[in-house]
Amino acid sequence: MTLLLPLLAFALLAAGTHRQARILFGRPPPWRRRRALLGAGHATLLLSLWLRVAGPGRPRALVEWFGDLSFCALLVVLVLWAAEFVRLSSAARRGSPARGSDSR
Amino acid sequence: MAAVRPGFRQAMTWLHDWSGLIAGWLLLVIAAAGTLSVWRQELDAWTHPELARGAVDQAAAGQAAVDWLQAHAGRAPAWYLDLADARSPGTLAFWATPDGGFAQRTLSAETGSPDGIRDSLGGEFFYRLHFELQLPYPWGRLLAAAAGEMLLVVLLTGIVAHARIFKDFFTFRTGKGQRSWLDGHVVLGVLALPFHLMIAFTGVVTLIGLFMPWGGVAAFAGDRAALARALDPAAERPLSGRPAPLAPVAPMLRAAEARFGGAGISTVNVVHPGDAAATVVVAQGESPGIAVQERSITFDGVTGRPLASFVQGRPAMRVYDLLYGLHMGRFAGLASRWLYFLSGLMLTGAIATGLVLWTVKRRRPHGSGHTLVEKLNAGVIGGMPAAFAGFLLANRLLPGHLADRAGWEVRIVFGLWAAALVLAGVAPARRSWTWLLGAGALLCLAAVAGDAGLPVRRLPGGALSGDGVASGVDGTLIALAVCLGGAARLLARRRSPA
Repeated sequence: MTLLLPLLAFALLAAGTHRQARILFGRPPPWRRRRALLGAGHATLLLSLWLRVAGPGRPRALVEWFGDLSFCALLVVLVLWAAEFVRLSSAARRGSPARGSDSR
Repeated sequence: MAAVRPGFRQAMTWLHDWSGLIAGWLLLVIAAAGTLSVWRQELDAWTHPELARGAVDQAAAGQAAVDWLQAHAGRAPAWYLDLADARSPGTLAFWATPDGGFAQRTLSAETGSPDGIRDSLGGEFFYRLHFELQLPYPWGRLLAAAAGEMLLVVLLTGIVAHARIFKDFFTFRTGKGQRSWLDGHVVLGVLALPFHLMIAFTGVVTLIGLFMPWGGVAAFAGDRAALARALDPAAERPLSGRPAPLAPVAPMLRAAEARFGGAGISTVNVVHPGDAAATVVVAQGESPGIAVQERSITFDGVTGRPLASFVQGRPAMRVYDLLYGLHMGRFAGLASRWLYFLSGLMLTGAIATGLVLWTVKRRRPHGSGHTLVEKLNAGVIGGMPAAFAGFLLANRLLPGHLADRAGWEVRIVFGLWAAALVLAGVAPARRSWTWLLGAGALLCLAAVAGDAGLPVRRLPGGALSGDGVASGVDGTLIALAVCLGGAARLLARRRSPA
């Protein structure tokens, strides 16, 4: 649970950004959905912090929470990179010109 | 037309680029050595396979160590013992030698003797390299402190310079040359930014008494000895000149263990052994909280009677203990230590990618300065994995009877690193990177091969901690070898510059 919530939070935040939404869904999200995803992501982050520090050893739990954030954020970045890599590779194999996530 | 003055962000970008370059290679070594120091005790255990691993009777280990020191270093003015525990299978003993130097040996927790145990600094090498840079006191520490301050400048200017810190939070693109290097640098720098800021600030604070002593010295009217006594008020007595045998230390250590609760014992200092004024200062081990708990009991060395006890309660010192504890991470359990290790790797990676990015941004020929930076990057960054892996391989290959064996392990590290710099100096950059990364991969695998088949000794009834050490260190070496080998292969295949 200590890692699942930050992981979910960063996944929601990533899905709410233009570039990463293109990787995941092929197009940037509508304005309302974007706000909902970002709001849910931040709320999940706060929930993960609250659950972490709710128990005994609050200062130590806070330090460990920051460590969890770094690990989970890195994991999300690597998964997104792998997803774009697979998408571009399969498009290249099909022979169709794939657009990168940062193309305009 | 008048020149346009750079804006604040451009100025910070310039400062980030140049302070990062000037301090970068030094910061890389400090960050990498510090990252490995997270596993200092485990590396100690790996580099001393003769030592049995498991739960340790600290009182018995301390008595055994003192018995050996009485027989072999009886004339030393003091003995300093880092006592064995469940994570550290051996007792680290330091004492002054007649020629004015210091001797260090790893002593068995069972017998107190270093016989049959290979002489190696082990994890202590990376720990000392991290804050002393293998230089004499105080120059290494001053240089490390200066580098720490530069790291704070680099981090803060990097935050200002990075305009799209949230929009680009998850961005990582490969195969796009300079943009890929920038993405990698930013990802590694931003995702663990709280750690980077914490470790830089706490690292500087840890050494602050050395490089900014003026406030403390002024408070004690220039009397540095009085300042030192106030900071470390262990009850010491001057040498009496009257010989007296040292009382058995085991009962003193058991009494201290009972007072310290589950924290155990970290260090035992025996001052003026064999003199009537001998004292035994026993310091408490790790507390569960973040702040390092400074707590010690001083015993009369002749009678074994407790003389004084000290618990740090001064608010300013407790703040220091908190910051020091954050930096050392000794409070951390196994999972949290892996997070510290991962964050340290990310800091090391951010520094390395920043150094490479500096040259990639200025790819068009800029003369000898640019070439020098390229070659230093290849030699320092590319040579580092080979040098460190060489230390572990030398630990397995050097004969046990070699005089100054621990010193030779260290010489091999710097010899390999120097060879890497020479190679980078004479060969084209891409080729030297390929060879050095490939050599690093091979040396990592060779170190694992050197460890294969070595029996793991466990104390009777001990936990399975020994298996975790071998699998952790060897597994990390294999993972590193895969990454280095993959990078070398990628570079060898690539025909066009990045």
